Amino acid sequence: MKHLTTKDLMTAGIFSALYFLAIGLVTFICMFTLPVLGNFLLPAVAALTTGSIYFLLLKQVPKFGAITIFSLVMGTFLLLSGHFPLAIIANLGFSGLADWFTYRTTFQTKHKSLLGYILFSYGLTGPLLPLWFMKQQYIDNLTSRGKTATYISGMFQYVTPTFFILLMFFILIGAILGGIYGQKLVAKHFGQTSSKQISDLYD
Amino acid sequence: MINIQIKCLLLFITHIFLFIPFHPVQQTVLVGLLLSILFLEKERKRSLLYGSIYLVLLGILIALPYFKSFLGHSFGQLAMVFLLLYPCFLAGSLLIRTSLLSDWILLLKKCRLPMYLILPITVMFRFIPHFKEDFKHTFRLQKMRVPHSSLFKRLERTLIVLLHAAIQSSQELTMAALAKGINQLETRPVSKLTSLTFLDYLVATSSLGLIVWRSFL
Amino acid sequence: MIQATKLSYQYNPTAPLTLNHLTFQIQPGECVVLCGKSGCGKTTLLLLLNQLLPQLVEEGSLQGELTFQDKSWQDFSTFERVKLIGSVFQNPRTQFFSDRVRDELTLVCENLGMSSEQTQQQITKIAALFSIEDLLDTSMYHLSGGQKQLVACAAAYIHEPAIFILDEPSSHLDQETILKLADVLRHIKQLGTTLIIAEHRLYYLLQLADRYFYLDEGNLQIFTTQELIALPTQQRKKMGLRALQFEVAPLPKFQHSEKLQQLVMAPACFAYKRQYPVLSIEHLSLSNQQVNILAGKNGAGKTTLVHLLCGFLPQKKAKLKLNGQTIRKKTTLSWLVPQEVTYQFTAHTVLAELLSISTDQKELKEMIQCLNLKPVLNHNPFNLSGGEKQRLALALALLSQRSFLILDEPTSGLDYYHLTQVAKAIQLAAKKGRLLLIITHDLELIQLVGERLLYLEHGKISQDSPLIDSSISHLFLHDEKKP
Repeated sequence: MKHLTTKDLMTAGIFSALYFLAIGLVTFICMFTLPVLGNFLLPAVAALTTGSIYFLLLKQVPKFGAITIFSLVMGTFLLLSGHFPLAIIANLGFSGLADWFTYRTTFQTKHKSLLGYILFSYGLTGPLLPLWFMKQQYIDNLTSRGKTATYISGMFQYVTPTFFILLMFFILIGAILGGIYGQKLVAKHFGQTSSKQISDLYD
Repeated sequence: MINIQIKCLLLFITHIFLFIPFHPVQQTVLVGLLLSILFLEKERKRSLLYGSIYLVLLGILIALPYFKSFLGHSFGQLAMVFLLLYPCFLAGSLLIRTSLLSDWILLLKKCRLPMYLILPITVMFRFIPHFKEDFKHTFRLQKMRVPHSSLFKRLERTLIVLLHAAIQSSQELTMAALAKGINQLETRPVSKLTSLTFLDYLVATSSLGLIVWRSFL
Repeated sequence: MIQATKLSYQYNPTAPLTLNHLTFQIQPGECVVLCGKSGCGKTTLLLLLNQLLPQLVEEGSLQGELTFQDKSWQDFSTFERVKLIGSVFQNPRTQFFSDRVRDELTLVCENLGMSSEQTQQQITKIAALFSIEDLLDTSMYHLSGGQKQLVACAAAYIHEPAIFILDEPSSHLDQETILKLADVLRHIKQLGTTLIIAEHRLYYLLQLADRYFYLDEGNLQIFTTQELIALPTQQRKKMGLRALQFEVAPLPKFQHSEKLQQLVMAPACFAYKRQYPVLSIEHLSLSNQQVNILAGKNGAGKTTLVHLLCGFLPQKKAKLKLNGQTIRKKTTLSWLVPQEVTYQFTAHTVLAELLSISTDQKELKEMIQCLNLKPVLNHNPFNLSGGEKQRLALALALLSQRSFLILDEPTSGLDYYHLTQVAKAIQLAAKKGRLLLIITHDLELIQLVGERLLYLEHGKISQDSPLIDSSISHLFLHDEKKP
């Protein structure tokens, strides 16, 4: 990551702060407008609404490593603030993949960054993982509290692979729509930033 | 009051408790320990709020058998998830809200993290309050400017302003960083984190004791 | 000693030269002020003198020589550069890294490898110099803009560099703090530090500056203090320079609308949660027959009063009546132009921004004409210079048709030309019958448009009187030597 300058690292840090607040706001809105379903749909809604932050970061720091650092910084923060620890693996894995796909593959397409964004959006599935991958943990927990087997199986009846695939599909749709919206927003409002002169900002 | 390293230890212990089932009494003891530390660290209102939320979650757990509908089951399941993750969330909240940025930097350097991670992490911590303030200010201004617009439009306009602010801030912060030699970080002598006190050892022993207790149960 | 020989700079290969073959010398212990109109290249030269520009702009190209103590700038390592030069930038909010003042002061010392004893010594010494000892254990987020700027200056000077470079350090400071800063800079200069300051406000540097570097489209003219004072006023104004000295003169009169509008605020007392009251107003009455100036030191309660008037704080705390009728929704009555104007721009072009407020062709044309916005209609509002942004913000305020316009420090960081443009917009607003409240401590603006002064001290209005001439300067300059 030695090719990333101080400016690139500052930019990644600042955008992570903005992204963190955006995700926080989206979480808050999801939890209160869709009380139960909202938590499942959170990654999809986040992908839909925060695309502009991702694409603007890509524009400001068009180098391999920026997205990974951005994601790692966010992931570290989520880990330290008590979110599910394995979530950081999903986070890092998908954003590394997005970074690699965007900058290290020779695959040429107009929509390369959008495909990268879709990959990146799956990194937000981390918090959902406990439901499917720690199912046994919950069952043990509930059993230790004396709940009957029928009740437990009743509770987990919809934590199924089908539901998981459906959620993944929603994330895909959210990422495509959010990515297109984000790219359009950035192109419209931030068209001139790459050749911006410092003297334009200050008198 | 409590050393940042002990807070990290507490977080690590709560993560261990995620992967080994433990008795509700043990969880309550752990939550109680975390809430009292939060209270001692002068986050009194927050500790009372978190304590109330925990009691509500426990209440839902007790009332679980009475939830018959699909919505009730989903709600109950979510409450279970929150309950399981609650100690982690408390430990994380304690760590983030009551630690100084300077302690963070020292800890990250002690862990020998590379500069390309320490710098963005520090900047992120530093700018979260900055953007919170900017968001409030901008959202208010947008409400004044276009009083009858929808929430979505207002949020979109606020986001555009904050994105521009992010670009400008990164420019300005970079100038300040270069002027202060922040990229010299690697050559700095490591200042010391404050040494561990009796209270730190007490907290560490109690939390490790919980793991020992769990082994005997 | 700093020596520049035929120094030129371009931001990218296709851009015109921002600095055009400059040759100058700056002696050790000298104080040089960089001044000029907006866009003249002051900031560019400043960023070259603190050796940062090449690292910030990758496509830029520098020609000519720039040496520090006979050593080329390219031969300086980061360590040597940081040790030699301390820099303070314009925006106090984005130049600190720590959350506590003490940690911010420690930063550069640690980066230079000082021991903790040396660091403590320096902190005690420099905190005393800048009078910020009582702020050492405060969080940076709880400081006002002015306090942040002072801390930034202290943090940049903590290691006592030989060269101290400041970019408009007075921009967020009240009068008292500006004079305090001038005192500190005088002291620093006596210790032999070379000072290089880019500024629009020249008056507080009069006793301090040895020479003035006037930049005009990248070309340099050097003046001594006497030569600059001796310039005829008309020529100084044409050069875009702000006043060096203030003389008592009658204030100009201009036209107001015949239709009277009167805003009355019921007695209001406001305190933030669990804190002492910051505001306690017994009576406030504003009319559109005078341009009202609101002045006061930092922390006097000006922002709180403005937020109350705009409806940003709880409605019941301040009841307003316009022409006898109670206002239910304050946000539709008033329009605030904040100090940081960029926080209100949301469109992708200046024209789109104007159209988002009003689609009346006649009004738009009038505004564009009056505020000279035609050359920038297709530009992104965020890419405008400070003066252009201020003009756009004022155009939006005027187009909004709101009865009550509040302007917060509209001339901060502007050259003389833009100052007159802002004054022109204010006069236009007065002619159109708007109620105006301007928060400012810019004496030149007050001399151009001020008609009534409200002075806020500790949350109370200590002075409320019409302005007849500019002898109120004593309120702002706090210095018996000034006229």
